[in-house]
Amino acid sequence: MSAEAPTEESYYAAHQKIYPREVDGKFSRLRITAAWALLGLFYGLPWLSWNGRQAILFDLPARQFHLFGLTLWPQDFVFLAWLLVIAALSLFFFTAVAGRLWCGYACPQTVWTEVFLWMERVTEGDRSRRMKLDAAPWSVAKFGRKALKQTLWIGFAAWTGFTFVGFFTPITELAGRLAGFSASGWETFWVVFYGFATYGNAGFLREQVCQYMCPYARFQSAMFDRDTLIISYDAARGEPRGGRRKGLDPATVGLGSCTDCTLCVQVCPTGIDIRNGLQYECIACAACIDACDSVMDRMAYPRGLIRYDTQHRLEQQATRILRPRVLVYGALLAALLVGFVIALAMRKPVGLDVLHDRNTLYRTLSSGDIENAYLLKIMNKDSRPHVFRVALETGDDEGGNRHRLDPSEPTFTVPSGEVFNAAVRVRRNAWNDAVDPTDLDDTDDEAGVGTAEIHFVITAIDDPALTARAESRFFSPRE
Amino acid sequence: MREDTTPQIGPRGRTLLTVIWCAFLAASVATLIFFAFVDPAPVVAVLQPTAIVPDRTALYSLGFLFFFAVCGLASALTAWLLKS
Repeated sequence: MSAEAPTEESYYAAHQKIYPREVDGKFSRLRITAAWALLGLFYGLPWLSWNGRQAILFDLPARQFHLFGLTLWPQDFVFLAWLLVIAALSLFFFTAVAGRLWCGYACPQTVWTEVFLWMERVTEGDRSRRMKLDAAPWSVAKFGRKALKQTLWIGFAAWTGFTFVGFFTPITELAGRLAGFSASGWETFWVVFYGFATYGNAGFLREQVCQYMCPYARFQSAMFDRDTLIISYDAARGEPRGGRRKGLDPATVGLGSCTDCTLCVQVCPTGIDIRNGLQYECIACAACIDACDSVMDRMAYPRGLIRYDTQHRLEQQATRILRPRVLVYGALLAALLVGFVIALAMRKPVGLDVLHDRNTLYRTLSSGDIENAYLLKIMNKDSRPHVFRVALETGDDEGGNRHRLDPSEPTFTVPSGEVFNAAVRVRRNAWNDAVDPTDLDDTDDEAGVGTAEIHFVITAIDDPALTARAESRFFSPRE
Repeated sequence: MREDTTPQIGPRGRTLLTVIWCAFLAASVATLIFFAFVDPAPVVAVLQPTAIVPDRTALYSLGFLFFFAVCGLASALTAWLLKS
C-alpha cells in the first residue's frame, strides 16, 4: 500500500483498488463448488413448494415461519434465538479447528464478490486487461465494456433483491406483482434496498467489507491458537527468496524454494502478502495456495510452500487437533444441537390464549345465572387440520359444578397453521350461590366484583395428545 | 506490487460506511426482537379502522427505519466524538 503521509486527523491510509488475478487449483475449484451450491440454495429455495405452500417462507405479514412441514410462530421465538446461538458456536468451533473457513467458502460477502468478479472478468478481461482498461482514456470500446459489466451487475443485484424479498413474501405472487408494476411500495423498496446493498458490497466495496466493516474479522483471532489450521507460508523452506532458472536446485545458489514470482500477492482478493505471516485481512480463500502450487509444479519443486498448516507444525512441533478449546466448543455445540432437536420434537403443535370479553365483566341472566364471555384463540401449529373440543376446569368441582360452558361441549375446526377465534360463554348457576357458601377460591379485587380462577382445556378429537390449557378469570357480583 | 492500483474510497467514506453498517446490524437485531414480541396489527387497525387485512409490512418497515435512524445517530455520534 502506498500510504500517504499520515496526518493527525486521519488514522487511515488511502485504500487502493485491488485487481485480483484469476487462479485455478483444487481450492479454487472447491470454492467455486461451494459458491454454486450456496447460490443455488439461495436462488432456488424460494421457488420450492411443499404441501402446496412455499417450502421456505418467513411470512412476516402473517407472523409465521414455514420451514417445509414445520410452522414457527412468534411464541417459538426461542427456537430462532437457539438457532442463532448454534450458528455462532459453529463459527467458533470451525474457526478454532481450521481458521476462517467461513470467510473463504461460505460468507455471502465472499460468494457474491466471487460472482461479481466473474462478471467483471467476462466483460473486461483478465487482470492485466482490466488494469489497462482502467488506465486507458474513455473510448467507445471502454464504455461498451463498462456498460455491459454494469448491466450484468445491476441485473444480478436486482434479481438478488427480488429473491431476498421472496423469502418473506410468496415469491410467485411477488414476481407477478413486480412484473405487472403492482407491487406495494414497501416491497419495491426492499427489493431495491437489498439489490443496492448487494451491488455496493460485492461490486464496489468487496474486500473492504472484510477489512473495515466485519466484526468477525476482528475477533476471530481470539479463537485461534498454535494448533489452528491456517494458511501459512513455510518461511524456513522458502527463504531466502529470489528468481532463478527453471530446474536449478535452489540449494546450490543459496536460495530457498520461493521464486519471488509474487503470484500469491496478485491472486489475493484482499491484496496482502501471505509471506509476511498471517494477517487479519486474510479471508482464508486459499487462492495463494493454488497459485504457489502451480509455480512449484512448474519448477518441479514439491507443493505446499504455502499450505494449510498449524503454527506448531511450522515450528517442527507436535500439533494436537483435540485440545481443550476444541473439546469445549464441540461439547457445547453437540449439547445445543441435541437439545434443539429434542425441544423441536417435543414442541406442542397447539396453542391456546384466552381473552376475557373487554366490554362487560359479567351479565346477569333472567334466570339469575351469571354469564361471562371469552374469546379463545386456538392456534393449530400442526401440518394438518384438527377439530378441538373445549372443556372447562374449575376449582369448585366438588361444590357441584357451579361453572359450565355454554354450549356444553363446543368443538371448533382449525385449519393447519391458523389461529381460530372461538367465542365461548361460561355460566355460573344462580341456585348454587345460595346453597354453597364455601366459595373459597373467590377473591374480591374490585368493589362489588368477585373473581374465580377457571381453566380452559382444548383437546384434538382425533389425537388426545394434542392438548393445551390456559387460565382465565370468571367475574361475578360479590355474594 | 501496488503501483498498478488506484485509490478506491477515502477515510471519510470509510467512516460513513462503518457508521451505516453498524447501525444496520444493531437495527436488524432490534427489529427482530421487538417485532417478535410486539404484533403491530392492532396499531394498523387503529390507524386504518376500515382495513380488513392490516398491512403489517408497512409497520415492520417503518419500525426498521426508525431503529436504523436511532442506531445511526448513536453510531455517528460515537464516531464523531472518537475523532475529535
